[in-house]
Amino acid sequence: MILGRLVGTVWATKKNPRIENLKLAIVRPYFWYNPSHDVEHVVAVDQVGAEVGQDVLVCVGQPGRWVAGDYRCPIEASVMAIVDRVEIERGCEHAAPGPFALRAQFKPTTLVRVGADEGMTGGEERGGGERGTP
Amino acid sequence: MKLCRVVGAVWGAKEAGSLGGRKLLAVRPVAVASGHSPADIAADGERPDLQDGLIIALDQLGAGIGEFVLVAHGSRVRDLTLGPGVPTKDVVVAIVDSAHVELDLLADEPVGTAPADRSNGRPACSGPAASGTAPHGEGGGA
Repeated sequence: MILGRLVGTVWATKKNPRIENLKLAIVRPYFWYNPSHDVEHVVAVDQVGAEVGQDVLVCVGQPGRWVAGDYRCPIEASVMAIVDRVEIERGCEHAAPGPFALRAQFKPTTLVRVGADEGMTGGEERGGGERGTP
Repeated sequence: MKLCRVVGAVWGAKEAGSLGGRKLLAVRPVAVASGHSPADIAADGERPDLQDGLIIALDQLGAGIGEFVLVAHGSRVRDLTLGPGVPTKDVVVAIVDSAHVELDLLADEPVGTAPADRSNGRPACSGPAASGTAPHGEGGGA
């Protein structure tokens, strides 16, 4: 699954018969599994009723078809969940090149940084997202 | 799927027999986050930026040049739309009437979606999260 922000909607009347009546949403991924296959946007089927602006979990591949209601529908991705909160260890959200690093300059609105500062490359971000550790 | 613009058609003088003379379209994905694309995308509207790279997709719906389409990729998609044995992995699954992108949301800090506003209305995850961590609504730093 990938984490992304729902940024838009697509309307289409002439569709493959198996994707009639499915709501289509444009999702801007925060990260992609494999940087070499990074995508700029993905159009996902939304069966959970997410709204534009919300952070969503998107599943690509065959499980996405199960969620869409018909495993035979020719789609690539489905919205699995609306995200309330993402916790990422402080300093790791834009960690050095590798899978699951968030896109630079683009972070989830639901992101909360957790963990101690020491030993982390980050820790300089003492902005509004900062909160004390117990 | 990807939101794409049809930029041309492809005809093969001599094709693989299993293509069955189906229509091939040259499409390019729309770069919705380029910063120059319009919020409303439609065939008769302002032209959005397109990503680099051309995709040759097989079309069963009758899309024309200049129209926007959804192109799905993968062998499973091919099996489900055309049946196995057709030598393509990109299929046009919908002709797009219009699409709307909230350009504000493509920036790092989206306008009007302060985390506090949204977490207040969403009770989920307050239970387990409340035990050892701080309250909601600090992430965006808004």
